[in-house]
Amino acid sequence: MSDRAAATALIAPLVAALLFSWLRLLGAGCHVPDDADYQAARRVLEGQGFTPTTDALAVLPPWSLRPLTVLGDLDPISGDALAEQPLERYARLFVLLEPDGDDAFAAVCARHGEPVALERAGRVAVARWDLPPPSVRFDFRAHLAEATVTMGDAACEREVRGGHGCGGESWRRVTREWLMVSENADDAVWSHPPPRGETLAIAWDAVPLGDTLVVRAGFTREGADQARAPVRMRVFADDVELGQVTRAPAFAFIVTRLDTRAFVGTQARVRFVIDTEDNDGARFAWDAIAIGGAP
Amino acid sequence: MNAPPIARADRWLAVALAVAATVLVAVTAQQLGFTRDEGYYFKAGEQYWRWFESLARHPVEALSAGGIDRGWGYNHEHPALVKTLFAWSFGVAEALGLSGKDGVLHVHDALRFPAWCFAGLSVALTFLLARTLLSRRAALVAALLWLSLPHPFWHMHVACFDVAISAAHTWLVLAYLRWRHTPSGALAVGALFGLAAAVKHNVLVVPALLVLHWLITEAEPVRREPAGWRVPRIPLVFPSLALVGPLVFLLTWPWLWHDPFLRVGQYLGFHLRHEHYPILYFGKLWTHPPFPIEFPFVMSAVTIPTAALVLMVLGVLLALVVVVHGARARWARTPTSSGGAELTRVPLGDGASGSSCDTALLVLLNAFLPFVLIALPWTPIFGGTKHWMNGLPFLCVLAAWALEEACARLRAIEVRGARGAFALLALLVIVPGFWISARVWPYGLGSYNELIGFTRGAANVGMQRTFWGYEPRAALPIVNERAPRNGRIHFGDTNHDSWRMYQRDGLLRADIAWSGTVRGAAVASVQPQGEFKQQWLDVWNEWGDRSPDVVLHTDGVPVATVTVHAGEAP
Repeated sequence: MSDRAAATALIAPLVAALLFSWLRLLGAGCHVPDDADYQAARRVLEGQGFTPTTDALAVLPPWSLRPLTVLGDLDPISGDALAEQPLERYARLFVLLEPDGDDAFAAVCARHGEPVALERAGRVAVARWDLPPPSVRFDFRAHLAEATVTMGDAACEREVRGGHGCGGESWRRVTREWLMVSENADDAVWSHPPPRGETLAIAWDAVPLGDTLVVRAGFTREGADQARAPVRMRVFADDVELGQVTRAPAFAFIVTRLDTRAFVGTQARVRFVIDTEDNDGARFAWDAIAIGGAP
Repeated sequence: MNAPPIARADRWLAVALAVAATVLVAVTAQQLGFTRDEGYYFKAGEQYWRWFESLARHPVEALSAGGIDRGWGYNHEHPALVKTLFAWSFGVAEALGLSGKDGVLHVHDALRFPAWCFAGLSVALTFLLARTLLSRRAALVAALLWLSLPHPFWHMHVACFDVAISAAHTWLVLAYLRWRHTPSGALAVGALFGLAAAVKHNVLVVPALLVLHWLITEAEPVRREPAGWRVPRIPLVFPSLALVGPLVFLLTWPWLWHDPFLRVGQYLGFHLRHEHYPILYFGKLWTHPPFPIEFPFVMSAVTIPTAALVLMVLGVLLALVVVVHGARARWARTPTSSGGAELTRVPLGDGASGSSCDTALLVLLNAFLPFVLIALPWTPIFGGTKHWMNGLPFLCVLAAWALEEACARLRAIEVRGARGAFALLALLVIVPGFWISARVWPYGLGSYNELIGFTRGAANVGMQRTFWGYEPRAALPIVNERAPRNGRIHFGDTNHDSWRMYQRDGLLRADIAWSGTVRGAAVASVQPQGEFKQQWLDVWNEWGDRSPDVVLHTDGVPVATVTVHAGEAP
């Protein structure tokens, strides 16, 4: 090989790497928000009348936890798969957008359109979407304490973490918790199914139904890794099966919408019946709301 | 014939590099919390020192099977050499009143001191290995490149074995390269192998690699002669590796003395059936094998600063070209069978310790052995880059060779400014590593390179940002200020022995007790990532508190959260 060719082969990639490296290094500092930026973001939220009970706040990228030191009391929802999350509980969606959250932000825009407000606060921005008016007729997660729970033949009457204990091992419970059903956790109902041949039944009397019952369900990360069989969740209204939500072991908290138009405006006894062919490692959870229809 | 002696100036330069690197590491270690493993090694170091004390007072009792088991039974998963140095450093500092309540040093500094010395030694040895093969300036580049790599630089600070074994692997190859041809040199190589094995098990297969290298490059082929089959004469260095090495290994580890075969079996068995360390890799938490074969290569590609990485790749390619060229010449039995010296303007070695082809093969084999061992599908899951770090000094040597060759070619075609190119390019390659370390300090385990977008880019694609529970040290002043009196701390991945050391060195209030769970604790320091994320959720679920007091972060990416339970705060 000639000296010129050898020099080019050795120097060209090195110079390219050096250019890339130094440009990236010089620009890297611009991507990190200051603590003061989160304080400023809070002032923006307060200025827009953010109300934790009716508004949703999410942080993008979802792994960013620094905002929680300032905004944790505003009860933010998970930023994971934000574009796919059912938001019928809320009147407005606020997103605190950090550098590196652009892809997830674009997905939210694709789902809900451009935000009606976008205000910068230092290196972060606060975006707001005005959602269709909240249409939740019944929040199953919020009314968990009122449910009647049975596992096999046994009634789960022991109070555990505001939910229902079914005796024995700690997994035998139905409780509302922050669970790692997504990378950064969601507020969901732990419902590990019992052994094969038994069912876990969670029932509410007199549930006001709309036209749709939205169920989000899936395995926790550990469950996705260890479970050996799908978990089936059958949903009944007054003993009529509305549909089945079946999840194979995977790390995805997915939405299924069940048609309840036949029950619009009525109050029904709603039961979730959960079972599996093999409950080993089946760390399963769900979240559900009844929405829509005439109030 | 052995390689010529190292020049006096180079010996002094090596010493200067060692001292400077040791001081740099000592100065920058003061912000670094205690890793999970350090907790165990701190304890082991102190226990081993107590045994030495008992040896001085009651030697018969100390040397009995029971005495040795009491003194050395703890943490026998790893050989004792480095922990023995921790012990002596601890003991001497204690005896001289340098550490402890009235001393000028923290106890943990005394225990870490040998690790810092190994860091300096590793830099000096990289220089000496490179100097044996290349010019002085190229050797300096290799040594500084090694020091600049963010992950190795971080590991240089902690009282563990990973930088020590990198130094040991380097000294073994350096000794083999320089001394194997004389009887005394061969014995020294065997002894140095024993000492290297006494650091950590990573080097146990290196002798097999040396035999392979000899078979390929030096051994006369087996052939039939009138008098019968003629087999190559085995060089003395290999019996020495097989006999002197194990003897030295045995001598350094009292725990083996009373039942060496059984206990060596236990030691090796532990590592062959090692538990798996969960690791987050592109969004998936890997908890059991088979692990992606490309893992060590990809992790290196996203953690070694890009320019250094490219220079290493160029060095590897250069070495491969030279090796292939040499092999073809050898097979063709041409006069150039001494291999590729004529292919490059800058030879790798001076000919006395082997041709460029032979030396390049030796360096390549040792560079890639650690990567390949971790890449094997049946290897237990070891997530950290430290597990193949002992290959990096060799890659630094190849990188320096590539830079020297590139500049030689530039000079040959008379490019203007070619004379100054070497220093400028070397500087531009070496600085980014230190820069990245400075940006992420003290969270060097979370450092990623330009290719993946630094630590934030790594977080975006779901990579591990931290492990080993060393993070909370920076938050301890806040814990001391806000924790209720006699409250308990849940320390996440930080282990019990590390908690003891924080208290012993006055970094954590003495009344703050230990809690194994979030429930019942007043303070929770947890790592919100990977396998430890559940503890972070425990804080939310048990306390209903989603507002941490502190989020420790690097580049804005969280590595630990510290929450003081509102119901328990003073």
